[in-house]
Amino acid sequence: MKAVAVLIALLVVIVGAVALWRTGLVRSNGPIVRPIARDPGGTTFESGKKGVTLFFLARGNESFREEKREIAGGTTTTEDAKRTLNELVKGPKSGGLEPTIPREAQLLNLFIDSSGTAYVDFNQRLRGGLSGGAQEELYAVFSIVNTLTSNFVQIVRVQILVEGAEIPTLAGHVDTRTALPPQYVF
Amino acid sequence: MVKSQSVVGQALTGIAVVAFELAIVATLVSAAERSQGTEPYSLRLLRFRTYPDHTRVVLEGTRRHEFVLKEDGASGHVVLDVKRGIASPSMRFSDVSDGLVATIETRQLGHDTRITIHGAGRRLWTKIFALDEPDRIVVDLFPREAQEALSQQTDTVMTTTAGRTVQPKLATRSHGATVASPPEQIVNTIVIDPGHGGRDSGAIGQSGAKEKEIVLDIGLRLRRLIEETLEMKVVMTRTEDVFIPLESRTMIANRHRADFFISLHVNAAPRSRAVGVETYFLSREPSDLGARASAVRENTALNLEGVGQEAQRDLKSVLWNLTQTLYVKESSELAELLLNELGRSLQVDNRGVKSAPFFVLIGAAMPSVLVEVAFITNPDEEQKLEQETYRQQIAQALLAGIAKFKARYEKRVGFMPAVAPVVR
Repeated sequence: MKAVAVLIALLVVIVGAVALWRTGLVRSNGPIVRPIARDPGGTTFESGKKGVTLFFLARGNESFREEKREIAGGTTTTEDAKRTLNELVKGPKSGGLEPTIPREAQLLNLFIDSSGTAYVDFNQRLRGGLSGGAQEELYAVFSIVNTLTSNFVQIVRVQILVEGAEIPTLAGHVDTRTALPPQYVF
Repeated sequence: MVKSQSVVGQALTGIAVVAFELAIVATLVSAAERSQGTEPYSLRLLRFRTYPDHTRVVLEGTRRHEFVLKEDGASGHVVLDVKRGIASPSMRFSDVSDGLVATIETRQLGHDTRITIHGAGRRLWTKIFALDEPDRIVVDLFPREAQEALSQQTDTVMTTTAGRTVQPKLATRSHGATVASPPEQIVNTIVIDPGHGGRDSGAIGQSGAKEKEIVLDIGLRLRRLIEETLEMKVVMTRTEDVFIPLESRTMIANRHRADFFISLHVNAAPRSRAVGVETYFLSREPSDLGARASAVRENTALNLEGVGQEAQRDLKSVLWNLTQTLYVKESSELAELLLNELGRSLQVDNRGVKSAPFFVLIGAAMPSVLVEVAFITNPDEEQKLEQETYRQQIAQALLAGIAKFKARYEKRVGFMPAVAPVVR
């Protein structure tokens, strides 16, 4: 009799546990796998190279124009983002485009936090290489921001740093005290 | 003998165990101290902002702090002790110089941090409160005499039909510079901000023309024209070749309760032959919810008694958005009027009204625009900018745009001047 009671109790516990698990009130302790969004600019080729889009200045009509380029695919998004920015600093290869970043500027570091902010740290030459005009500064700032946010879904805004520090502006106009979302037209 | 050796051995073992335990304790204490050292400051930032009738000082902490107000400002100084506060060295000294507050000093007194706010020669009245997320201590400083005068006054706040509140100008901070505005004068004060200055030359042309000199000259010409023609009060952010920090320029505009703010610049695009004029207004609002909520908390002084906290938050958020939208619309209109007048008068490329997150426009509690009157990197435009007559023409065009904006705005809020100003 006692054995039957124990058996029934055990059965009730098992059925209850299964019911709770199926309704989602109880979850297993396994790792949560998030669906990874498709990276629009991040087509990875068989050769291990990755296609990226860079934002340069269109000569003549002063607007952004994209240039496609391939980078060696790294093992992490951060590594890919660094390589992409280094390509931006090198300047355009297509005719009709102008660079937006001073050639002498050097990317010192880049990291991405969990909120989607990419921190990009350049040397002082990013500032020193600009002439002091608002338009040039706008295109310098937003070519960095647009290039990173349009290639990497993990990045939604970009904080520009110079030698590890936040700066008010690059050349006296555009507010870089906080992380900026992309802006494609002004 | 064997027994005594055993006793000695046990004693040595005991000593070794104690020594080992002491070493572990010492290591743990040291590690704890080191871990405290990684988070050395509990007060990480001091910032301030000038408002039309008061100055706000905000201490940002990494945790909550108790604080004691030692001196409330009656003597001209405010002294605040933050209990168990460790201040970042970056907070040591701040030069405010906004007419109400001169400087702010931070000193470490044992376990506490002492904040001393030195007034600019006037008695102060202080309001202090704490906010969280992030933890902040907010000190609002008012001129004491204005507070006393206001407390005796009846409610004389006027609201314009456009929704902007015009308060009596008793609480202006400048010494003896109380502006007795006629009540019907709705658009009364304009701030002209010649960009750059001092060590910051701005853009430089091929033949050596400097943006800072050109925009100062245009600004001074514009001031003269406005004073003569529109009878408005003109406030210049600089009248000589000095460096003014960007945040101070907006502060000046807010302090004078300006009706609008115009920042003058000359453009540069060294890699292209771009020519023409363009105007900008501010496109950026506090982007994320946290920043906006924080801005609402610190920038509004609404008393919504009887309304739940959640509803208050929503209402303040809506009001903040409305205010921003209002200024965006007015700023865009001002930018368009100025641009059209410049394009027509100078017969140059009209490059359009644009929007961008320009530092100097952020925080202006009024319609505000940035004007790029030419490209100094274009040799033809540089040559023209060096001519006095061309700079006067630019100032005339700007005046025409300002007059149109003033007339439109006053018409919209219900004020019709007896005689419309003739500018052209």
